[in-house]
Amino acid sequence: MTLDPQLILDSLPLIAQGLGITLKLLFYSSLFGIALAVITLLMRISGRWYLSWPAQAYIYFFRGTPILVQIFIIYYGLPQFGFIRNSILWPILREPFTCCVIALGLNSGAYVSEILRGGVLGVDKGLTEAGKALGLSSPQRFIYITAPIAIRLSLPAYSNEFISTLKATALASTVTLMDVTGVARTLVSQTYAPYEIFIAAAILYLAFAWISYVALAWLEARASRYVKKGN
Amino acid sequence: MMKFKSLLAAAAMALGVCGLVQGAQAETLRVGMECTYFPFNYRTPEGEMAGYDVDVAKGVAKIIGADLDYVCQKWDGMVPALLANKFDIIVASMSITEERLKKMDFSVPYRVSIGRFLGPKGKDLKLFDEAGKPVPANFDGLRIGVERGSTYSSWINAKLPGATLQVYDGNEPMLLDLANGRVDLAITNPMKAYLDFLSKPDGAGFEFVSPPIDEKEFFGIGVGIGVRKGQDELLKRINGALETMIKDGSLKEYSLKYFPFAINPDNWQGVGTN
Amino acid sequence: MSGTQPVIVLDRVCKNFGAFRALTNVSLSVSKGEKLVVCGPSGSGKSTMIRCINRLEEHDGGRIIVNGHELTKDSRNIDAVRREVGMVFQNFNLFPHLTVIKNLMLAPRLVRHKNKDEARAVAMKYLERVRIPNQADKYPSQLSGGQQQRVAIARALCMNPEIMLFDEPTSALDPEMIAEVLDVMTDLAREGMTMVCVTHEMGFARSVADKIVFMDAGEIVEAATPEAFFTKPQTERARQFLSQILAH
Repeated sequence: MTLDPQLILDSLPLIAQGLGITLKLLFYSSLFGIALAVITLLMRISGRWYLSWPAQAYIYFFRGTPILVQIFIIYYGLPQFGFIRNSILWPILREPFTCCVIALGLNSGAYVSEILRGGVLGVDKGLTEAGKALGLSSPQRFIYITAPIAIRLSLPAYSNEFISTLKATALASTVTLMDVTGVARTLVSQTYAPYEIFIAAAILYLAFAWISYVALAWLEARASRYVKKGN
Repeated sequence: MMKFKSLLAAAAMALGVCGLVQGAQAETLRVGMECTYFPFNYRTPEGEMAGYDVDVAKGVAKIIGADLDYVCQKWDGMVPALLANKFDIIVASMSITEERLKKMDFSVPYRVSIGRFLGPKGKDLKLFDEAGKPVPANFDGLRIGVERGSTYSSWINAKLPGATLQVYDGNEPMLLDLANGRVDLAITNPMKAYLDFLSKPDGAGFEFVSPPIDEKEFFGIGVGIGVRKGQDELLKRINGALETMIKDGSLKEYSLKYFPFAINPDNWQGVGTN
Repeated sequence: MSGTQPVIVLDRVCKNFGAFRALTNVSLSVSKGEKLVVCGPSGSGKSTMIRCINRLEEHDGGRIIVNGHELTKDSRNIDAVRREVGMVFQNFNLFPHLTVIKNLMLAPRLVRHKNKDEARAVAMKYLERVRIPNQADKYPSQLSGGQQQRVAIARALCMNPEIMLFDEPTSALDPEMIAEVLDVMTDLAREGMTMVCVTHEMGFARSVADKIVFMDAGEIVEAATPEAFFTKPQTERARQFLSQILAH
């Protein structure tokens, strides 16, 4: 097996056509994931069992099962029920793209919820007490004190989770989406040159992962500008 | 492991060989096939060989006046076994490809490679004109399921630029999505479609919505009878027999035994179209 | 300076942490404008007692009435008390993600619904009072401990409280910074603020306090004027405590 570097270069622009879908998947599922994470975080720290238990069950399920299985359940499993195909949800679940956003978002939400919880637990209790002593209500304390600090504490772990989601978008190619991996697999099936084409796809993923790392590191530095250096 | 495999092969051969006893003088043709590929070459519950390939082999043997010996062979060893003279011809639904033609010869096709569109019953989408040519405008905006990297996707890309392709890694998920309404149409091998879908409850609401599409530059030449190189005399007799069977309608009759549509070439195009 | 009107009343207050009895039948009354210093060995319940006054700890028995509001489960009363009582903590507890000025503006804006300009004006006024107006746009981590604690005092004052609680405000400070914080507290005392201070700073207690409460093992052992407490402590425990603390 010899490697053809020219083929790698030639296939890069072809595979890059899938970048749009990959990035859209990443964007929407991360956004959906963050929304879910915040909701389930609030449910968990509400101190009410009937809110906390469903949130924990959700996190347990989605952290404990492979994303591919989750995608298949949502994409192939749900339409098995006629009532779903006849429901108002069908226009959403009919689309492979939205199915993937839902699956990736649900998965990412479970992880991000745990990350944020770690952040919340890392906020000094004294700050909450100071907020109480100043007469801030519980939601005010959460929004103005706990959340901003918890977000900063969560950023390093979130940055890893974001890259994980980027990589997980590749699974969308199993349900017909022409993302980077989908385009690459199709090219492979036509050219029988898996090495070159998957290497080209890997280069694209690496490049975007690197951009994400840099952007998130910048965000982290910005969010930490109030933290004493060397402390 | 090797020993075990050859034991298996020996056992398979012992089971598979069921020579037809006819005139003592008759030539015997040893035919390689998988014997497990329904409905092309398989064994009935009674132990009889049956299927489209078997019928073709029997028909050829009858016309050239030979007896048949069936040799059951696993697919991945099929061509090597032919070259090693374990049998004389392959009648095993083997597609005629450039790659294979380097090692062996093929008869004219006795089964064509075709694609056909599937869609919901009763929708007159006017996708094809009277002459059986696609009307590209009527495909615009339709979602069509295809298998990744299949010849069908190349055909659609070339002929139907306005259609949206949805690419699957297998027939089953594609047909599932057709049943669920995620795609408007699917194009595939009509035999697979019939066996796996249209003949099952899931496919009840669906039908073929196109004529068989048979374009050799996209779908290949078809399935032929394989012989070793240098067997020109045998090949000539086989082609002659197939010519007779195409012209007298025997092939069509065989194909309709297994499918509600023809899978044979419907007119004689002469030898050398390969 | 002491008035007659009691603004803080503790009546046989009890507080347990599991099996540990942190407070046992603590009764106390503080009049308007009075300065009360609470002292005692560590673990004696001083902090728990002061934290009960603004409900950072929930008492298990007895009654607490602050500025006419009895502290119960009723959150309206808790909110009312917290609006009227300022607190300064041992560890400052400044909001690290906000600049000094924003630390000061947060509660007036959210709780008192002041607009930005009003809140800023009030904040600057109190930063000048604690003598660090030039640090307004720095983050807490950029300030010294003494400066941070003065910011914390200013932050509490921005809510215009009627009562100030100090929970060991100088215990986390380097010795050279203690004076600047005590000076600010002394100023505040002179202006007539009602104050409850948990502190080991006996010099401050002597010069500022109207009354000293000595606690041990969750109980009030002695309550006296500074003069009486330092010269003629009534109990053996107080004598022992004083001899230890004054020896240093």
